[in-house]
Amino acid sequence: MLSRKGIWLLIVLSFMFILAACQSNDETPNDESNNGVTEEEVNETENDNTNAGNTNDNEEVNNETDASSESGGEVTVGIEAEPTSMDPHNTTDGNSATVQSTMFEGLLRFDEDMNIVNVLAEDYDYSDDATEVTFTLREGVTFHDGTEFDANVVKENLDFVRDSENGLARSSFFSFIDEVEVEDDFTVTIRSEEPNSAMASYMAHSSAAMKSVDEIEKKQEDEDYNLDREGAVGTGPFQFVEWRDSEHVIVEKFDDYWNEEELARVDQITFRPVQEASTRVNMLQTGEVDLIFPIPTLNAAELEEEEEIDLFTGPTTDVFYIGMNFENDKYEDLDVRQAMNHAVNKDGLIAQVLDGYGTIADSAIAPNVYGYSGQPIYEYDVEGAQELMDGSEQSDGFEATLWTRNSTEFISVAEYVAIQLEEIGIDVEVQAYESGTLFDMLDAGEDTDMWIGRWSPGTGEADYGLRPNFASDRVPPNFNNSGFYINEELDEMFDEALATPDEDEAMEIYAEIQQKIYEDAPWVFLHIPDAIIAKNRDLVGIYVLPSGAVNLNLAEFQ
Amino acid sequence: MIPILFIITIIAFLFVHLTPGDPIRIMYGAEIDQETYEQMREREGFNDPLVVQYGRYMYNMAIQGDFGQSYRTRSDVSEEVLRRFGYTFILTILSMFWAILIGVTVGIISATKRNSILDRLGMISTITALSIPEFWFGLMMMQIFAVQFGWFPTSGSGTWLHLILPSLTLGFGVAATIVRFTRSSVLEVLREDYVRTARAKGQKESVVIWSHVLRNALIPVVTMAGLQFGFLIGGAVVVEQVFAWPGLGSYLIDGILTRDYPVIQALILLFSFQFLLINLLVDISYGFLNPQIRYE
Amino acid sequence: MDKQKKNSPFRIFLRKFLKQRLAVFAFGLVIMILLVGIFGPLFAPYDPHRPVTAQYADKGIDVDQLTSSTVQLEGRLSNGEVVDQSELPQLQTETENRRIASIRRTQSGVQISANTSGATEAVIESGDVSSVAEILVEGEVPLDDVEPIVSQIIIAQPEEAFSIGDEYQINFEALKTDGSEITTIEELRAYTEEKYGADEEEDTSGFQSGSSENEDSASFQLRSLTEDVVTVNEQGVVQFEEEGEGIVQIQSGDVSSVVQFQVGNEQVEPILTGIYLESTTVELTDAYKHQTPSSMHIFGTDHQNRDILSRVIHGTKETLLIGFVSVAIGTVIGTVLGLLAGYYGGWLDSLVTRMTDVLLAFPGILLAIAVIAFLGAGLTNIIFAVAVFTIPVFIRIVRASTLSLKEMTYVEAAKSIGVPNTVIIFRHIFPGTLSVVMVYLTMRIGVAILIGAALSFLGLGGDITAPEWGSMLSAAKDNSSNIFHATFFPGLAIVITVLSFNIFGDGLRDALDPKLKE
Repeated sequence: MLSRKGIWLLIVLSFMFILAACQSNDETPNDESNNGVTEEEVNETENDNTNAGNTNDNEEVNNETDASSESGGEVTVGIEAEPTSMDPHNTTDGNSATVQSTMFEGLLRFDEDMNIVNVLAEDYDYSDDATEVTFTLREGVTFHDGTEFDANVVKENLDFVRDSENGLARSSFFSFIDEVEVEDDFTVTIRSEEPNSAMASYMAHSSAAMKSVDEIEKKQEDEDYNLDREGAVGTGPFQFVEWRDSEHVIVEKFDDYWNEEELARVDQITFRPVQEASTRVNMLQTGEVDLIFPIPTLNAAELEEEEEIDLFTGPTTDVFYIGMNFENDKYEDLDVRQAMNHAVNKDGLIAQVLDGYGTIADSAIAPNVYGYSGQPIYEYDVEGAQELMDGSEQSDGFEATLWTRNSTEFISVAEYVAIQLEEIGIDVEVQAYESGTLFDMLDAGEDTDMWIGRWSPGTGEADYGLRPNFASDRVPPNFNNSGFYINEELDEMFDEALATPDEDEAMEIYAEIQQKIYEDAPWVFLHIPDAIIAKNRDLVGIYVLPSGAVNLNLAEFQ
Repeated sequence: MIPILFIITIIAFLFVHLTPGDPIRIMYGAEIDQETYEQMREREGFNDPLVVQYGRYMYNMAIQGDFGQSYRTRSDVSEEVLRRFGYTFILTILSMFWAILIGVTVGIISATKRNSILDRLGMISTITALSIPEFWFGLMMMQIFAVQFGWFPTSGSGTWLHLILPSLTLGFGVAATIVRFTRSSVLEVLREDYVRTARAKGQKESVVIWSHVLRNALIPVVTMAGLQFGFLIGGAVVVEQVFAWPGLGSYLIDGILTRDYPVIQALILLFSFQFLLINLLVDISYGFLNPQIRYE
Repeated sequence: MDKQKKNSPFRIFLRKFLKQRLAVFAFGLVIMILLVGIFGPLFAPYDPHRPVTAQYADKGIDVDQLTSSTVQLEGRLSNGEVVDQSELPQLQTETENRRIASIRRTQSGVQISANTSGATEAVIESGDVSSVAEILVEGEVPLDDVEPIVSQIIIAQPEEAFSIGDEYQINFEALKTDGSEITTIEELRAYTEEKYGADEEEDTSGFQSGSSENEDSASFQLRSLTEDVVTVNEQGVVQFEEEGEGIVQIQSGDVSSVVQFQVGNEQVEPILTGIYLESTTVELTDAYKHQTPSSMHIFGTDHQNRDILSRVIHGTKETLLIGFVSVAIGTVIGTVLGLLAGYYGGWLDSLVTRMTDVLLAFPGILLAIAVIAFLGAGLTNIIFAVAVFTIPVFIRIVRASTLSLKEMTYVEAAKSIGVPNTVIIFRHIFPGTLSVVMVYLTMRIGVAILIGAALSFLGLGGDITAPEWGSMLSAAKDNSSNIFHATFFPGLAIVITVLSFNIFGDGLRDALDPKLKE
């Protein structure tokens, strides 16, 4: 008897679990949207009831919001990975930055043409020697928690992030600032020791966002207060609702947003981290999400055909390159470096690895970066490259190790380059590491040989695009000149360009710098990948910045 | 069990702290300078002696039930493990269901039609099933049923349809083991006297099989299936990776690849505990079902 | 033991084994796989490390697979002169669908590179004039229904000067890619509307970005660019209004040319009137990657265009290496520990048994992952990881049979006459465990290969570029929804190998099992 019961118990139990599984899973995708809607409707009717006895004014306001929320709807976005933080000052990854851009604003921002435009600042002015920049701030801006935005907020924010005691990831980003001074309630001046004409660009970067001073105070009072998880109080058109790991981050419309023209068009945005690219694509096709990025290039082709889906492809500011360690004698000879550049077929690389979604890098920075100047590229020419090798100190070829991140994209690029370098006698072994490990090894700088790098200047201008990679004082452990490339002539020119307030003159210097770098070939210059973003046809108002970043603040459904 | 778990905490702790890779770099990428980096190491306590770190870890875990924060997402590991445990649990339960369903059915058919074509076919399929790598089988299932026919989503989670392919893939290998076990178990029972008696009484073959043979033959099968549970969880690591199923397995692999110490530590402990528990239960049930074992 | 009288145990075993036809067949396969592992690289059709396209020439295979070509072009000036492309001002190039082919200017000309198969158009533009080349990239997408397009317009350039009040009828030829011509305005207008009119309403996506600029290239244009000097009506009749330089443009979508008139006596500077392409159709091949199985590559090629058959053949060695070496290590250590534990018993036995129990409680794959995570990726570490969880299996079985052999009379006898323990263990007990060890050894090789492949698949293997079956699958999995052959064949190789070992092991076991009668 007992045994029989046991069997049946097991079978019944399994069935129950399956049913439970089906049920719980059945609900998950709709959970957020459906429940969200009903809850909101309930709230609204409640509001209506309570407002019934109030003045007419209030009712009108209420009706207005009702009307706008009717046309709103909810956007669900499939992003590549879990965000790491909701604090812009502690964020270095793109996914977190995308989510934060709905909630936070800085004094300035970049528009779709990479121009600097005012946001929380109404105006800004450089001093003549470019050591000071003075911001006139917008009045009447409130944070999501109701506190006012003013000059003091700017100072508190910048002082907090700069203080390395607070251990924020972006503290070094603001190290150019020497002092922040509040002139009056809505005027603030930022000083730097050296002339720096890129200060405005730095202040337009996403990490120069302003958060509520209350949050900073909470952190100062309580060491354990988790700014990364809870401190998302900004001035943007959306406010933070919740963040559940591996499930979603939800932000909702902020009704008191200062800029009425750019009030959020949708009620809510849900960001869902979906690691597997093919799953993201699938979810877009089934309508589970409205917008996805990034997308593998092979899938992009398939999505292009679909009626209900819009695909955006456009260049980014990322540059892929093969770095080499100048402390290693192999790369001392310019001929060798140029031979390597000639040996890699960039057209083939883009066709094969990127399925055509990319362009050849013809400088150390991408065309969308302010200050870019294109150079005549190293054409693919194996025989020419072989001749260069023959005439160099390394005429017998050599063995090399190529480090790469272990993502599919990087590995494919590495394999491709390795195969091609082999043709001119460079025997390359590809080693893949998890990106953190790789950064570690590069910063240690001990066994570096060749590595695949990708660089995108977050500030969108040439200084941040070039200096970290080529300035002598940026060799390991200071980041990011991992190849110990020393060129004193360039060092001087970097400082000169920054200290030149006249834009045209500065541009000329940058053009010269880029020419020198490209000719000196400290990298094998590879390609600039396209940003590939796909969305549901009904969703409009998606802004794509030249860096490939997506801005959702004005998203709406047709 | 407690001392073993204690040893495992030490192993888990050493394991994650002695492996190469630096969590601070993983968290922030290359974009932080040396000074900030040092500050962060200090703050996270990585500069303390290992003993101190271990003490802190044990204190937090044992006294406060706190497994720490994930370095990567800064979320609470305990919560995350609990949530993902649900996914893996559902997956393994359904896989076990398939495994038992297929395994017992094929096993009984093989045993009752011994040495027939069906039996031989069944045996060859089981040995084949045991030779197919789970991940490849998963990819092929995906290719056929999701891409060619479009019946199921290719990967990910969300609806119950997402669960079918991964669970079938995972259950497949275990089914093969169960087939073999069921077959031999049924064959053994068929030789028993009471079966002969029942047949001699002139009962229908189906009645004999259903009411006499199965009832007794399936007891060891159930025990054996329980034992396979642990191995299902191991297989889940691979299958979850193929189908992007957000369970503990993919959490573990992600954790290892990103050197997310607290996650790896928590999962090693959890898995150890789970396997020890399963083994204990199986041992107990052996003794319970077969009193002879106690004398051995 | 009683059978020993009639026959040697080996012959009995052999007879039993040979009776199992399937196992014999599997044994044959195992031998074959071993041979492939050892000698395979000698007869692999291609180098597994290089793309096949780079090897066709060496192999003497004559394949016309151009992935890029340079387009020769010249500019025609209004005075009849021809200028080289390097002297053309603001030369702009663009392909309609960059995914199919891309175009860019190089020092030696304009280069078009195929990306994926399909048809697209390349626009080459300099100021007001432009020409179009048709690009056909051969590959998976059929190119049969590609319509010929107008590639360039050549307007007859009058040599004489005109005076105010004169009229002039424009003559032109619009050259199509199939060699035919359009010479009348009506026809060209109709053609243009048909070709470019349809896709005018495209580009209403909700994306806003800085780089998207809308060109009004869509329509047919016949217009004067210098309206105060000349006018032109719909029939192409030019009226001269004032002295100076007159320019009339004919545009059909992306193709455009101009004609220059000198009105009055003042000499005008010659201008660029058209771009002349030497070849209007560029045929390329998409031979970059993922070639489907064909007679040339029976398993197809992978994402780096390497021959999958050759890679599978080369990978055999590595796979077998993982299987054999790891199991060998595991067997040796496991057997020794098992013998010692079983023979001596006591604390050693309980320690070893306890460890074995703990290790066996974990699924092998998890144990291996843990070891790899600790040691780092790499072939040797995989072998080590697989060996680690093979050890307890052998400890257990060897210990068990040692326990029973220890009780045998011949062992007791040896003990009583004072034979040293080591001699007893290795002379008298070890041979008795050998048969069961052999069976498990064969079976574990299959498991070891599976776990090794799984580790590579999870990205924990060594060299990701190496032709190793698990890494091949790992590299192919991201495209598995689009590309079938790249995942199928390496996986099949694993299945066949593991299956052969398993069936062979099964057969061995049955043959060695004394319970099974002949």
